[in-house]
Amino acid sequence: MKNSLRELRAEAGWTQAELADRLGVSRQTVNAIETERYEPSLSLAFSLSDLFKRPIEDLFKPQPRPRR
Amino acid sequence: MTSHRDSLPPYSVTGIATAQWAYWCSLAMAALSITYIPEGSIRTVVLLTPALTGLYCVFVARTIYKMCDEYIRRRVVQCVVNTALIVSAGSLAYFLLEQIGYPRLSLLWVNLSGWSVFNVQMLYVLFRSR
Repeated sequence: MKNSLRELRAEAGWTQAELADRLGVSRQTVNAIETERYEPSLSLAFSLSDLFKRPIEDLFKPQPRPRR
Repeated sequence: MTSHRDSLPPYSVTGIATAQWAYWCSLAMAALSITYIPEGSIRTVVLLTPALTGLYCVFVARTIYKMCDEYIRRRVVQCVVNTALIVSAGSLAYFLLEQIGYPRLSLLWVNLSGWSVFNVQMLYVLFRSR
């Protein structure tokens, strides 16, 4: 799953720690989502969507699965 | 529902370090009590203390799990899985070594190494999360 969290955070002018504070998660969680090592739960995805005032589809883009 | 209210509970690193320390101390005390404390109810109580400190380790890990955010929770579960893999592979390997003449070890070593491996991983995860 691709996400545009890093770009949106940069637009808002927040650090990872500031975003983590606003979401009530650890900075490590924000970092893991940005680097695409972790896909957030639905509730956290909705919190992100609320915070950035964007639909979830703008934040997360599914990647097509490679054909076998 | 996944909670992401709190990022990292306060005193979590101290909690894990204290639990591990208490476990090691109680284990040493129990081992020494066999030699130094005469048979009786006091020795029985001292011998059982590692079970209590083991429960304390479980309590601390469970409390941290419940209070952390979702990503740290996943890391905690990974710690449990890694510990299970390391301990099972290690005990199987040593079982095979015993067959070719290595000294027989008590099951206590499995418990001791399991808790130590788990708590070291937990400390690493929690330090990285601060």
